Amino acid sequence: MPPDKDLLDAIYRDKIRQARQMTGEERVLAMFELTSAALRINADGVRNQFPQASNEEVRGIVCERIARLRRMHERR
Amino acid sequence: MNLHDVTIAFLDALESLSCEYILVGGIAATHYGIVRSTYDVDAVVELEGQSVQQIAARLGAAFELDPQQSFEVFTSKTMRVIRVPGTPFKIFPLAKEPFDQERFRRRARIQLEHRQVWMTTPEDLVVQKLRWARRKDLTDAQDVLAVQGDALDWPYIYRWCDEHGTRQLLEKLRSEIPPE
Repeated sequence: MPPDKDLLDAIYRDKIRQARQMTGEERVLAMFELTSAALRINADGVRNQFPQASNEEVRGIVCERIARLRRMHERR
Repeated sequence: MNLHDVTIAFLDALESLSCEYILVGGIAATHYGIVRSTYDVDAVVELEGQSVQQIAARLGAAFELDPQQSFEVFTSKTMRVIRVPGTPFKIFPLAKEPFDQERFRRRARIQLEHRQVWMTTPEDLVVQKLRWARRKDLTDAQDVLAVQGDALDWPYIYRWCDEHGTRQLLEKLRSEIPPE
């Protein structure tokens, strides 16, 4: 079942409201935190999938995944 | 080092070399729009007097300058990339084209972590994102339009969108923003 448009609109309105309650600087600092958290979770996923991997190998796999994500985002 | 620390180090290097630059890309989109994660840092830099090598040298051994220029297919722009593991800092030389010159002239001095840094304006961010029009660009543009709303200089945006042939896309994004 496709997501309900009213629900999606309500979520988006909420995001806008939250963003407007922050300064630009606060939003950028939150972006840094969000990115760090995303990287930590990604690394945890890699460790779970490859329990024998060293920290360096985990970092390498995370970097590869980000590069793949970046290539996908480069598409129109 | 995390994204916060490497970004601040990058900005401090640009400022200490008295580089003329503007932050664009994900950081600017978040500054004016909705918080999202980003994995790279984009800046337009006027490379007169300072070279990319000087910027890389100022950053220290943790940062590595790609030996050759890179080319972004969709934006048709050449760039130099300085990397720390996982994070490319993409340096786009300031182009001679009128829009690049104007967005550089209109840049804003903003506060970030107890320092002042140069950032593109929200209007110029929207105009550029509409021009590139990848999925992520359109999301960023719409977020900025939604968050900034009436605070934007609309005649300015219209002028450049008309110039770039992106007015219809602008109107489509605006119409898709749910009413408050």
